[in-house]
Amino acid sequence: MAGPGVVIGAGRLSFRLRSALDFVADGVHHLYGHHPLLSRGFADFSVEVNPPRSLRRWFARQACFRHDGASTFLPLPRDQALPLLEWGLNWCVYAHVQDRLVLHAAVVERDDRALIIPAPPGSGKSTLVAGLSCAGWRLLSDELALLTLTGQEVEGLCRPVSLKNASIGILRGIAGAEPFSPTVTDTLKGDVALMRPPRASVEQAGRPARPFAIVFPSFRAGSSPSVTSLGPAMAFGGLLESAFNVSALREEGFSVLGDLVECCRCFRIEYGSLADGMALVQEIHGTGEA
Amino acid sequence: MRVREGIPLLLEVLKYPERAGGLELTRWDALVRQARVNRMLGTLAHSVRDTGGWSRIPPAPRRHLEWALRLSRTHCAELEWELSCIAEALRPLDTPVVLLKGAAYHVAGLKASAGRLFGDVDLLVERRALGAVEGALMRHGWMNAHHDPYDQRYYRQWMHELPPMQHIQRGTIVDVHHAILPPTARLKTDSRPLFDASVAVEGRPFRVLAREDMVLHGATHLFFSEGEMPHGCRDLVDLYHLVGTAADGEFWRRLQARAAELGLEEPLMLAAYFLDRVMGASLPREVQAWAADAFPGGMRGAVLRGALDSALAVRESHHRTLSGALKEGYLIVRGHRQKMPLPLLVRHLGRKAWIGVFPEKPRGGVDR
Amino acid sequence: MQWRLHPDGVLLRSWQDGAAAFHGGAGDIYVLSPLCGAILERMQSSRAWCLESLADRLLAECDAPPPGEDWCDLVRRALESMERLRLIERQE
Repeated sequence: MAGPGVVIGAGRLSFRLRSALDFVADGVHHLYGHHPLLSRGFADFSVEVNPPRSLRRWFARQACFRHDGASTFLPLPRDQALPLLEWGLNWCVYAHVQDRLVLHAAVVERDDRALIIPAPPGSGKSTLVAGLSCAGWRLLSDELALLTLTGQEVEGLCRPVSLKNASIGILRGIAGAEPFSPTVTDTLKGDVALMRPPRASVEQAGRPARPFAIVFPSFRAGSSPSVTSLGPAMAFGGLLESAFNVSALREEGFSVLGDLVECCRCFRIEYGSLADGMALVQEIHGTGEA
Repeated sequence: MRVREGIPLLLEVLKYPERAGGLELTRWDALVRQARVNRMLGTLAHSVRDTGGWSRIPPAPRRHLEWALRLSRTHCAELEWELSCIAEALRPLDTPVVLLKGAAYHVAGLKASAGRLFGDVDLLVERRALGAVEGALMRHGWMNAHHDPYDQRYYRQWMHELPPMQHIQRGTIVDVHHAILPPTARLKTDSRPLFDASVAVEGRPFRVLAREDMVLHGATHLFFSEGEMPHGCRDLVDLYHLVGTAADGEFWRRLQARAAELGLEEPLMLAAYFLDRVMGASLPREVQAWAADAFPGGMRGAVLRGALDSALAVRESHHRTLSGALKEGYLIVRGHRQKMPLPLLVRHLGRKAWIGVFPEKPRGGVDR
Repeated sequence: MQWRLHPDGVLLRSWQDGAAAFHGGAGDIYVLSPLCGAILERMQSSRAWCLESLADRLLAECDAPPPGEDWCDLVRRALESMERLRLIERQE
């Protein structure tokens, strides 16, 4: 990944990744092992993760994310370079893409019924979709849902899933250690590890899915599982907080969100373990059986 | 006096948008990046779309142009709303309000506004109306964005504008000017003739500068303001669109006469010099000769040319090289000298340098 | 005195549990109570309303008005809050 870098295809977008740090190159090759490498001369976003250029490099071992040469985030300790790259790629998408409504939400699909799971960090959505992806669901995204402006369809880029703290051990127990990046300790979010998405999901990343339900998850250790049905206005309000570019899309953004809550069933779920959460999602998905 | 024979890809396609259809993907990769880094992706998208070669552009880069078109539509709608709010705030005052720069290009329907990303709205009002305008804006939710008493005094004593006013809910900023140059500047120009020649905008309670004055203000703003030129290339392209792409001898004669009237020959000369040198713009032969002749010679000219070449160049990346930063550092000092007497300059720059010890804060988004 | 929609227009989605409105000028989106949604719906189908006739019409269409509340006052407060959002304005 030194020199001109590699171009990776993810869904309908492409990223040119560059890094002079060997462990970043190794991590990218591992985590994006199922993604296509593109050889055409155009990439949607050209980014790099490298040591800072300024005097800072002499004070601390840090890594900087840059897009078109500009650092978007504050530099982080160097061992956090891989999570930093993922946050940076998310930023590229939500700060630039304007022909989709970009939601901060995870998306999984099974039997042509997609579930959109919008939530703030700490709600357990990444853990939930990582678990579902190991149980035969197609993973579209753990962070960004892209809604088409006309067809009421949802797309994802199927990039690595970012897991935190206890979730890392739980998912390694299910999926084995192989799909995981090394765990980075002592980040602002605690421990972070990235999980490579399943091959079958990556291969279908270009195929949109039809939204069936919107599920607002809330993980509280030890709580008993419950499902509450939400009205469209409540769901609309919740989605509004997760919609990055709704104001840039103006009328169209408003209509896409309005159509989405009208065509979907909307729920809030509360659960205290991954198994409970997955069971609730299966139950909601099952209400769509003919 | 051209920099070199071939001009950068971005400027070439802005000048000849019909060439976009024949570009290969690797060239598009460079072109989209250059346009985005120099804040001209929307301008590029509009130019290319208007020539009709849209369908010949490969889908991947075309998508970026479409994103830019959509964003520029949103910017236009937001500017419209901002203007309607400003109009409402200033309606009770019976004083001429002249829009400057981006907002003026927009309401006048000029090519320089197509695809533009609008930032602050700049107004020019009569000096005696400053207090009333400030009060009216404050009653409608705009507040002084500079709370630092030093900044407040700096603006009020030495500048040609009020401290920037920010809307408390929308966060948008209005800059209220009473002149296009600060009273301490070496160049002097009176605002009276600018008001007298200004043109009412149909259907809006605003005025815009006469076309010649728009060019002169654009040039003055580019070459004689704060010195830092974060978007030097974009501002030069604005001027390129403002003077028109044809070598209109009649327009340039009016422009030169007006510059002499207003004491703004120097910025016009620099504009002509660099439009020719950087953009290869088609200027009347006698204008080219005038600018080449009037450009400073010797060491001073060489340093100025080097610094402005660097500041007006198409950037390939946001990353700035050390030599670029040094050259532009010269421009900061130069820009301030245009504006302030030396002792005051030393005071202000000393303070700026102190603030500059702390790096500019990038977005703190550790999350996501 | 009458009330009407902001002249820049308002896009409205009205549901049982509330409504969402898009301000055509400002580009802002608001999530509103069902009563606000019902008021905006009436204003979309007709140009201007005075408070009393609007309250009467809404009461007639409403299955169960909230008990113990001054209905007209409730409608007035909803109108005033939407005026602050500039979704609607007064017409003297």
